[in-house]
This record gives sequence, C-alpha cells and structure tokens, in this order.
Amino acid sequence: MNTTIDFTHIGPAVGDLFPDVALPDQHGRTIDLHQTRAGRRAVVLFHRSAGW
Amino acid sequence: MELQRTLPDFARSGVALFAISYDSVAVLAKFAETHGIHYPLLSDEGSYTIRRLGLFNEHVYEHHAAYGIPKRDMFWGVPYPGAFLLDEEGRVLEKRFQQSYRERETGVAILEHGFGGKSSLPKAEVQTQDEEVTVRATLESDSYRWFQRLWLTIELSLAPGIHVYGQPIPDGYIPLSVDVAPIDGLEVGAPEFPPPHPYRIEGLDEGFVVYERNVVVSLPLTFTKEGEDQTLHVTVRYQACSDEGCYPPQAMLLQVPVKAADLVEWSRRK
Repeated sequence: MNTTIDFTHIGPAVGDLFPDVALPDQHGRTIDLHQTRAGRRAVVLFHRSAGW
Repeated sequence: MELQRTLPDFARSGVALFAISYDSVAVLAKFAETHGIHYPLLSDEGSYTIRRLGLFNEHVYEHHAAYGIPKRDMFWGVPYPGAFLLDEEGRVLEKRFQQSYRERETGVAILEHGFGGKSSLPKAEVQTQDEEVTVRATLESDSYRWFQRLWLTIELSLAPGIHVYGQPIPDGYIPLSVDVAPIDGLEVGAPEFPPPHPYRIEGLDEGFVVYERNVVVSLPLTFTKEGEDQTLHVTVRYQACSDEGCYPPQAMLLQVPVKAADLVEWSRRK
C-alpha cells in the first residue's frame, strides 16, 4: 500500500501569496505568472511530463 | 485535451490557466501543436521552480512500483500532481492535489467545484421522481478518460414540509444513501454529504438530523480501465417524512450512461 500524502504542508499553503514564477512557455516566451494573470483568478496546474 | 476544451469556460469565469512541468520548450511546443493547446505550458527544465516551491515529487518511484513500472531516472524531477487555485490577489484559495499522477481531475471539476463557475461541456444527466422527491444524477462529463476523476452529483429536491434523514440516525430509520453498483475497473470514492440539521418531532424523545428542500451529494468516480461505454447504476435510498408521518422507504434507481472518450472521438472522425 502506498503512503497517503498529506498536501497541507507541501508547497504554498492555503492563504499564502503564490510565489513569483517566471518560466518560458511553449513558444519560448518568458511568462511571468502574476503579471500574465493581470488581476484574474488562476489555476496553476502541476503535471508530469508531456513527453511520456 | 480536456483542459483546452474547458478554456472558453474558464475565460468566461475570469480564470487564467497555467500548466507547469519539467519538460523542455521543444517538448512542450510539440505537445501544444499536437493537441492544439493555447494556454501557457511553462517549462521548468531542471525542476528548479518545482523544487523552490517544495513540490518535488519524492514518492514517484513508490507509485511506479505500485503500478509495476520499473524505476527510470527520467521520472525523477516531476512535481506532485495537482493544482493551486488562486484568487484575484494571487493568494492560494485551494489546493487540489492527487496522490498519484495517474489520477487527474477534469477542468470542469476545477471550474465548478473549485471556482463555482459553470462549464458548457456536455454532462450525463438523468432524473426520476415520486410525489415528494425528485432525484437528479449528473456526471460532470458524458464521457470518461482513463484515470480521470469524474464527480457524480446527486441532487434531491424535496417537496415543502418533507424531510429525509441524515446520519447518525436511531435504529430502524433509513438515512439518505447513495450507492453505485460495482463495475470492473470503476473506483467509487466515499460520498460527500452536506451537513444535515437537527430536527425534533413533538412528543418523540428521539432526536434526528435531516435534510429539507435541496440536498446535493457528490462522489468521485475513477475509471481505471480503458475501452467500453458504460452505464452507472446508481441507487438512492431514503425515507421521506413530514410532521404527520412517513412514506414507505424508497430506492430510486438511476442509470447514467457514460461513453469512453476515445471511442467518441473516433466515431466523430468517421
């Protein structure tokens, strides 16, 4: 049986300001998450590889 | 992909979408082109951001072992799978993470359960009723994909003055319950009931907790096998009562059809 992971303390916590993230997108353009959000709500999805 | 299909609904709800993985820009470019993805797929090659945010998946080998997948170096570096929901100020509203990357939530679930938005994608919906109670079963999508988590919602509308029992409940009474008949390759999670409220009947010592008017029960379903169209057999049990007395216990059967997603796309291509 796998360990059940408690995500409460993994990554930014509920109520925290999500940290600044700036990474290249699929076109190679650097995307600043909060700047691009431009005051909108957002989903930040973490996923495994798109290559396998 | 499914999230891309939900993108217009996210936009209408004023929600921006970002995905982060450890892939190179080249891998993401190919993926975006193949699947027609228009939201930002961010490349965290080397997993530096994933580490900085404390999301480096330390359990990935353990989960692979459970699926019988051999250990491979390239698996190391993936994040824990899931999503952060942010408010207008950029604060974390909710964390929706999965135990294993095989499980996935749909964009519809994130939008509707997480943000209270409304998706325009087709759902599977059936309804049945007796004189006091209408029962509606809605599966958040009319089709399933392998290891995607789909929420089944059961909504009861009770006539005025009618209540059904919640739990805990004294012996001999029938609480509201929802059961999905087992199907090979279907995992059914525990139903989530809203909190019932206390109810007292004049002249009776026993106390009850009950539901009135509208009751919404949700349960997560995951299909772990690919292939065939399925029908969910959902049984909703309850006993409807008023202050005067009770109706006989009911077991409402709802049959919810759900298609296998790949077959849907295949038949559309033909």
